[in-house]
Amino acid sequence: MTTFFSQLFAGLSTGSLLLMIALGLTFTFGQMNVINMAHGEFIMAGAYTGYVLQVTFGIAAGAAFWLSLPISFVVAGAMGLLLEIVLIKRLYGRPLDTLLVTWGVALILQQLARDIFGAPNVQVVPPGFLDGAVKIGGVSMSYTRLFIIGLVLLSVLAIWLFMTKTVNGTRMRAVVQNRPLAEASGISSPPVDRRTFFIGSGLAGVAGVGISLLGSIGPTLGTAYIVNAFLVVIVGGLGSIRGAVIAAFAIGIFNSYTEYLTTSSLASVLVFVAIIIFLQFRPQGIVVQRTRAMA
Amino acid sequence: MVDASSLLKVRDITTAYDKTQVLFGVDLDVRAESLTCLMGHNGAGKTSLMNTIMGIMPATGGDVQFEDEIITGLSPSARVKRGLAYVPQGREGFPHLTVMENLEVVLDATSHREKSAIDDALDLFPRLVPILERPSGFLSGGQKQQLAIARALITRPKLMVLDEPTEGIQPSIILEIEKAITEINQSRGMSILLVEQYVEFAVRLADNYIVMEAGEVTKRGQTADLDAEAARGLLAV
Repeated sequence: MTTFFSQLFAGLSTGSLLLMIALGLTFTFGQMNVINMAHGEFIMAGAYTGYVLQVTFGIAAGAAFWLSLPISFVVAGAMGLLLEIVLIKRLYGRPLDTLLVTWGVALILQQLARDIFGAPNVQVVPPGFLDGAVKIGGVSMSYTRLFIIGLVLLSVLAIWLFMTKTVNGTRMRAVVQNRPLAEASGISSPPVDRRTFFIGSGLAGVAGVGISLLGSIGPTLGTAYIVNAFLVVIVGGLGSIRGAVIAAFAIGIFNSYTEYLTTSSLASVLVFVAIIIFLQFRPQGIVVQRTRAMA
Repeated sequence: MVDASSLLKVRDITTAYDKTQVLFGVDLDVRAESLTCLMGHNGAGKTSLMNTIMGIMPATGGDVQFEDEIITGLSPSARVKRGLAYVPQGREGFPHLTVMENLEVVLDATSHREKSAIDDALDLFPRLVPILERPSGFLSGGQKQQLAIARALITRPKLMVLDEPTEGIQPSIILEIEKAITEINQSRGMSILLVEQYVEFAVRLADNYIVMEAGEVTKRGQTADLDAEAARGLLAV
């Protein structure tokens, strides 16, 4: 029984990490259909932002950690905004070109990180209050893992409130649901695209801070996560935050139990097989967002 | 027929889907406060013309002028800012937004931002009032059409373009829509460009008519000059 719950916790933990990295992609990939291969590098940029703050203010300063959450959001968001303005907006409707261009940007950003921070990984030391674990019913749950789960749930809540309760969010939903009609109703879509890209990229930055709590970070941090992030968005259903939440936790928990029953590498294979089978039956993902276009 | 005092002037407009040309030099005028009806069979290019006037489809030649300003190169939203409004075919909407959100999101993008615009629109369509919190994707066809017109009214346009507002809608709702269009045109003094295949409806409402065939204007005139038989003959093959 303890094994059952400890695997469940491991699954929730993996799921929350998956969700964290996929959340930003539900905006840029899910809603705007932009395949941004540099999304992983925005995660990396967020992680290094936390590192820079820690080096600047000192490890003892818990404030540096709290500051790193909003600052990494802004840093990664600004990078995304710049990418949108300089390159991506010229490539809307050309997914293959976008993929190649953003992959090039990803390589540039990795090299940039190598030049600035050096090739070896660096360590972000988690703040003191995240040391240790809590034991409930024999299941040991580390504070860092619990913190990441909490951070993800808080991010999801904040996004949900923004999307449903503010007029900016309503405008973003209107543009996603029917872009030509939004334009023909007087809603200028380029500013909405820029805002969507800023938020989506910023969320990658926050994910980077979360990931930095679990281990050392390096210039290729993002490449390890990018494929899984796309998978979560596709399985969840393009553009659906609710779908991404369900998909991330389902994949995380499935992975955790199969890993327990088999081996870690076989579990990864089984997760992929399960996703392929799932998409055969439900190619639009868990939550289907019907959108219509006029022209 | 070309009128210098027109609110909207379309001059020799051409457009194409990829390489297939669909409009072949169309001229069209809508005078201030008039109700002009555009008729034609399916595939005549009516919707393409509306999409070109709104900037949803780019023009490959010719000009669109609104209040003597050439707007051919402007984005749809910039045209809406200048006083054009569009009620597209097929009762399009933002299906996951509630009826109220549909109206609010458009109001937020206007320059006037007067909340009374929502009340004014709802006065015209009281059927929408009890369903303001419902996602608009779940409305009936008639309700969606009324919402589409209400949404266009929020911008307080000078000219409203309506593409087949009665298509596939039950007769009792058609009467309500007809009443609303007349009210908008006559009491509120708004110009209207109406695309319609339902000739009786069009002739009853419009001052001027235009008939298109295969991407060109083939007939135009004033509805007052038409008798019943001539009206029926407008769309005869």
